[in-house]
Amino acid sequence: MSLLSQTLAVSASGMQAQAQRIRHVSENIANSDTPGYRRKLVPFAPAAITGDGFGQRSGVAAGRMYLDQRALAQIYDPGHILADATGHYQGSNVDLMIEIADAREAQRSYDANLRLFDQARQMSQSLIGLLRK
Amino acid sequence: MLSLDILRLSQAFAAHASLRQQAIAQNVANADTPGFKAREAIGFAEFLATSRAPLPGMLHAPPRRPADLIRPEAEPVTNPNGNSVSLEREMMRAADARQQHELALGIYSTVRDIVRTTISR
Repeated sequence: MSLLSQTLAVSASGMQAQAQRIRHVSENIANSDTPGYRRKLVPFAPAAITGDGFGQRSGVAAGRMYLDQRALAQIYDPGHILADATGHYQGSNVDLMIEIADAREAQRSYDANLRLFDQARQMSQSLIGLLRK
Repeated sequence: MLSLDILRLSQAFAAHASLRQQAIAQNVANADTPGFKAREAIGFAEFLATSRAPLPGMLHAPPRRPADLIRPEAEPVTNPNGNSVSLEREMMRAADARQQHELALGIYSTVRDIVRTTISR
């Protein structure tokens, strides 16, 4: 495995991790009005790329999803089927503002990884192009 | 043979460019990883000095351990989560690495063309 194809693998791992993050963000947004829903989060950690000779963990991987333990929103609606004696029910703890900011950050990072992927691809292509002449 | 030295040098230059690209890709992939310290490839002079000359009968030098070629860089941590990667800086370096790679390939193909012209005469 050459250095440039390892580079492709590293960038691909970054894109995969960011895509997983965006998936959880969209799940959170879709469930922002679901009673009792806790927002999902993914931790990122450096990960080894299979087949690289690097002793260090060069790529990235999204870890096990965990739930945000912030308190759920108390929503006043006496007519709601889940309402308690005081007329409140527990909504979700999704904050749309945070989710959108998170999605934006994930998109930016995804773009950055994609650009580097494309650049590494072009570099190896021009290397191969030398053989054709 | 001067021209072959230049070919070898431009090959090392291109290899160094892809090493830099690898370091940049690692940093960008880990741009959102808490506690990640940005890494940097060693300089070209050092890269060239550490590259051992191939033994007789070998086409290439034995592969070096890549972990020695990319080191953590001494940039101050700017993010609250302990990450020291700056996407802007990485983009700048990526442009630089690409330019270096193109330059190396350009030199290589020019020298090769010169050698070819010499032979065909």
